[in-house]
Amino acid sequence: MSDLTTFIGRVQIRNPLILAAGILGSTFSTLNRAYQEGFGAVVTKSVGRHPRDGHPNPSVVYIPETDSILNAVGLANPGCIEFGKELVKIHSDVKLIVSIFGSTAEDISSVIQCIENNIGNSKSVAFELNLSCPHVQKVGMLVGTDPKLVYDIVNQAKSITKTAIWIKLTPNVKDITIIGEAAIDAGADALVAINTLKAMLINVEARKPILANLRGGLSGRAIKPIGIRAIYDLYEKFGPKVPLIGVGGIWTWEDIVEYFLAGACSVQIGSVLSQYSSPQFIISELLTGLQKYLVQEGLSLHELRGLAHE
Amino acid sequence: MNDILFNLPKCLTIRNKESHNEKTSTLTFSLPFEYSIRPGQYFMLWVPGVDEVPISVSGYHGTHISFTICDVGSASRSLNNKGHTELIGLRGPFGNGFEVEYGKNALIVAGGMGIAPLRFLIQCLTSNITSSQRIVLIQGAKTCNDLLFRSEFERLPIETNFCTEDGSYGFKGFASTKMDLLLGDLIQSDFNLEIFACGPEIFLKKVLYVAQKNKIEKNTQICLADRHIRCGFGICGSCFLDDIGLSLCRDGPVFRGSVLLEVTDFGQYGRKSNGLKYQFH
Repeated sequence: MSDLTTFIGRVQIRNPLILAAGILGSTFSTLNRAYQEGFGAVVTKSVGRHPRDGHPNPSVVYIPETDSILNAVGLANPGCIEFGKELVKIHSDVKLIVSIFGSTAEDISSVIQCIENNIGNSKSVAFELNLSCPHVQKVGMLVGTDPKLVYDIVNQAKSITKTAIWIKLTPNVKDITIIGEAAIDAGADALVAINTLKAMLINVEARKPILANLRGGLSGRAIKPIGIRAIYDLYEKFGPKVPLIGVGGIWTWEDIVEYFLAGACSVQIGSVLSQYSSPQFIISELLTGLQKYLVQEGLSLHELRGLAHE
Repeated sequence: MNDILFNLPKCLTIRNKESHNEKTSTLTFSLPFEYSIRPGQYFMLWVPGVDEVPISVSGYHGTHISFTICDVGSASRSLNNKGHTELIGLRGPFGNGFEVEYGKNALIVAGGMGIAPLRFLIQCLTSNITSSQRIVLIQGAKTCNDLLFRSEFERLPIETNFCTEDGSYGFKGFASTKMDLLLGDLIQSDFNLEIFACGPEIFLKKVLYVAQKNKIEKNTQICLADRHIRCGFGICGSCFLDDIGLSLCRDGPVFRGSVLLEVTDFGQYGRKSNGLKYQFH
């Protein structure tokens, strides 16, 4: 058996599979369940300073031809005070990453403080700053495409917490490494790539966009090559010293290997859960495949990282 | 996702519309071909430009599929106001429906609009009824005017018990109270009994209490209908039940009573679209 223990900077998790933000993670029950069923760590749904109802339906639809999901949930969340109360009920053994959004450095720092005030500073292993949501005006992606703003946000976040700060990057930019560099220069502990791509579907019969918000973000199998390229570019720029978490379209264990070869040291899983009645089935399928591959190739996870660059 | 007929909304025109009262009507659509759909399953009905809401299938025969809709919000009001030529998007069928065992005696308990999925169940059960099989319906509503499909049920080979809160028809009181009165006798005469229920969650909690009192919760199938659904396929997390973490939209909406006994929120708390908990009234 190959050891799957994974290090993302100083964060240690039992295997490299992390539940991606926005999938299942809006309640303590689902986060507990996802961890119990085998994830190495779980990321919450993004939380902001104030409650948001999100966009009306349709807000999440599955596209069968490409095994993809189009969504514009619109950062629905109960606000950091209420969400903090939710997170208190998460079991102490769960490796928890709290996803946070906001429009300014102050905004995001205040959410970090609010969460830490509620759950203490030892419960979560990292904060993942969602600087990349493509379907809400003035927050998310708009923030994450401005290198100076990204620097300020990360710089301030690092000054107020000892917990690791991960930055989730948007692929909706000309050069993802410029934003990544701003985050790393400001002290970010890891980069997560990619968030969803700007997308739209129009119903032919009704002649109207399907999403109530008209525009949304695309996840799932269709975006994997874009995620692979983003991780490859980031690894090429920063080398092995910067922890990279690959996310986007992972469906099989081969996809995980591909992300590692590109330069990831861990991966996040989301849309593929739509194919399984329970997370445990896909987790066990992915981990078994990965184990077999590593044994067969005589490689450790760590050794696999970045091999496509040699 | 392989068992979903329409993953993306398929727009269809309303084939038939039957008004039951000033707030409720049944819309019928024609699917392009026959498909396997179980009672208790639901579709997301999309009114382009307005909203999309989960609605249980209330009837299905051949390719004709029906949904019974009560005005409770912008989408349902808009659905009820639609004319025959207008397009409605259908996404589904979603969720786990009732497990139907033909030939087994059935007690069906409906509160208010909870009759919608149970009407489809009754259609299925009566289409294969045996001479020795008993199907007992207890249907409750606020007034006589709200007892949907009453005359249809009276024509079927089932035992009907109607209840109204104002006493304008049948037993005065809740269907759960009537169930409490009837269940002891039914269990004595029919050991092989399955209970099916749907309605407001507070009502369903009473139904489960009565079932549990009679030690029949494992044979009780309950369809929840009071919760916010977004995706329909168990991924977005909007409708999960505390604290076992099951989704209403995919693992449900039908659950065994023995499972619901583990759901601490059942009959007590729902969640708003922003995830905040609220108490059922």
